[in-house]
Amino acid sequence: MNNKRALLIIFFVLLVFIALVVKLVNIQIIHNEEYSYYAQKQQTSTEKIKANHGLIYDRNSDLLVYNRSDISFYADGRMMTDAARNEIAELFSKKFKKTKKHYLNLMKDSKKTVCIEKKVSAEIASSLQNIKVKGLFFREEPTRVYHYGNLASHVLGFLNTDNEAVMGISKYYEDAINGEDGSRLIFKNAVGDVVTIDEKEVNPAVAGDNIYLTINKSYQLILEDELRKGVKDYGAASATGIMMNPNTGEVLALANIDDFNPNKFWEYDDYQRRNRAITDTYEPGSTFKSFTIASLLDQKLCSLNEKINLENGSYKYQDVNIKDTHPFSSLSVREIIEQSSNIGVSKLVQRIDAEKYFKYLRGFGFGNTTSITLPGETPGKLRKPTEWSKVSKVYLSFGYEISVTPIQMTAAYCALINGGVLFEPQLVYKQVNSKGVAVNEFSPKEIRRVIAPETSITIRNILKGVVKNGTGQKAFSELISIGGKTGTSQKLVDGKYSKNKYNSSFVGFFPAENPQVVCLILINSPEQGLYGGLVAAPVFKNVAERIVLNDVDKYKDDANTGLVKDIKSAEVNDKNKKRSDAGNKVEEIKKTKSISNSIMPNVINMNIKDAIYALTKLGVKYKVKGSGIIKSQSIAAGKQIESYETCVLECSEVSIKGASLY
Amino acid sequence: MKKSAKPTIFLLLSVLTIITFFVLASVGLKLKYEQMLLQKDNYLKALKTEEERNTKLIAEYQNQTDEERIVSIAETELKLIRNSEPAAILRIDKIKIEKINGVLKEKYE
Repeated sequence: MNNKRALLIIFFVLLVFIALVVKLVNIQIIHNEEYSYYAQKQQTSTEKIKANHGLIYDRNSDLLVYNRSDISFYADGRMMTDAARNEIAELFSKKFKKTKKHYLNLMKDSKKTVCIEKKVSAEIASSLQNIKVKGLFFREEPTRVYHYGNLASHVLGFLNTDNEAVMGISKYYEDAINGEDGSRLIFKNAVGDVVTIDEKEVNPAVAGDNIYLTINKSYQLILEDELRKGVKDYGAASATGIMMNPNTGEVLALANIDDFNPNKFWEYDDYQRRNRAITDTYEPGSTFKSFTIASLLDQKLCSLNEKINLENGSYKYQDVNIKDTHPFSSLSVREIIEQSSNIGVSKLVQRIDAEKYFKYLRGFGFGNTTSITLPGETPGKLRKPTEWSKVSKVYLSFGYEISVTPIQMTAAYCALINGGVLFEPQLVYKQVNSKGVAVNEFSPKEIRRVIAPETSITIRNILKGVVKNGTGQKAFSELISIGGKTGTSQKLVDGKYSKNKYNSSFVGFFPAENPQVVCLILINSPEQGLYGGLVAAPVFKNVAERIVLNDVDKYKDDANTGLVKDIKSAEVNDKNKKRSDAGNKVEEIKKTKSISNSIMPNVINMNIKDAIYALTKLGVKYKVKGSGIIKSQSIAAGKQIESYETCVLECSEVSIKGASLY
Repeated sequence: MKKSAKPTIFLLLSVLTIITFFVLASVGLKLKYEQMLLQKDNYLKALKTEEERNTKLIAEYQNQTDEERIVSIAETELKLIRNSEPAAILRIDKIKIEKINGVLKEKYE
């Protein structure tokens, strides 16, 4: 009996077991694929592991750009009750000092998912992440932090709202900086919470490479600061500055004013965000004369002390009247550059064959992109000799009929004074992966030799003379020897040369005997000063002096060290004096009084340059309308000048066919 | 002599108990493992946050150690006055220092 009962129990157990086995076989073997598919679809999902973007440093390993993970909070209206909405609104209004109504308004639509707080820093978000309210969820959002705001914004570029690089180094090295996103398989429960992660299905993300720029943060700061002051002081529309090491082609600083803050890129317009130093072209004007003379000297077609007849300031070539701002009867070749004579270079350029001249200009890199590692560079325009008119060569000799970008001009000047070798502008010197291993080390890239070393030395000496005796005197510094060339060119507006919009520029280098820095300053449409020698040269001087004072050790062999000490102690004394002496205002009052005691001179029939010089000396504010010779002045000659008055000078053009030349 | 079914039942139950124990243990271990994987993921996230904070602090350190900032605080807040004279350089002969060290060692050891 016992055995029977036991056998029955075993039989039933076996029956149940067999039934289970049958069911299991049905699930696991017969419908395996089907059920696996649905289970996987329901419980798992592949999650993207976002790779960390690489960091960006300057040449001294100062961190410029880094990452931060912010948190964005979302509310799903379909899952929320009114009580939950109230609770969330209450908590968020307390945390972010906004009204409760604001959050309730955001969440009023019961069919939508809305972002209620975007990109909250991790510190603030940490307490809110613990809130367990149905329908409230958060997502991590990477944010790129540009530590110094506007500093070097055009070089660094920025990431748009979709986290895609838009411009600058960020764009050019996008693949390297972005790294490789990874993925992982996660298991979720019915509510959607992550239960676990399938370790076998994890494909880790590879962080982006760190980029080390050739930019020097301190130089960049100085350049931006001085350009900003220049724009303000001369009432200019904008300005561009580039600093390069002529011996390697390394870009030490590159700035455009107006610029933008990449942390808030959406607040700026396209003009402010565009890297005009590589995208916008301009006619270089007199700064181009150095290349003409270099070509002639290299071909031994002129000698430095050779005298050229300058026709007392007016010369007709073909149908073009060429004029000099300061008339001379004759000058040597060296003096022609020092005084920036259009007639001089126009006459000299006729000695060189068009093809050869073109070859030199191409050699300096004009008409081609420089291959700087920034996106959007334009090549400028240099037409082939076959497309030239009879007067093209003459126009080209003093920087018209050609358009160049500021970066081209700076690179070309580097070649002009470094011994004659053109270098590719270099912006990155090292690329290091996330493990700290240098994957790429960039060295200076020599493109070609353009002129002989002796020609380069001669040009360097001539340009030193420009600052000492010529049009660039406002760039002269007692602190360090400077060489350079001024340039003023009329802007092309709607296909015509504007009579009151100019590009004023100065390209210089220091120390003149052993150039370490070449710097271009381009001021766009200054309202005061107009000329490169009056507007851009002083900006250059300030930049050079501040850099020398900032980097005394580097320039100690070339700088006037005694003066460096004097300036430093003067700065200290000045600060000390300012602190103790509240009578500083007296000086200002005295200054104002001296202006008010001044008598307005007669500037009618003067050229603009001389008139501006006279008014600047007297400290009179002025505004120039038109170009050419002064025809009227708003403050009558002999009248006492009040400090608040602005003298409007109206000018009329001297008849010249084609471009107006200065 | 009828053989009793009890030992068979006992054996069967024992086997089932052991199997159940192992099944429960393996399920428990699996759950623990999954929990630890989640924990690891959270720690990795925390590590990333700390790394980011560290980078931010490096950037902040740059600001704090900026020479211009230090000089400005020293002058405006601490009212310090920078010496305009160049710093005096004291030069002491290395051999002389070694000699003095020798004398001191002899005297006090």
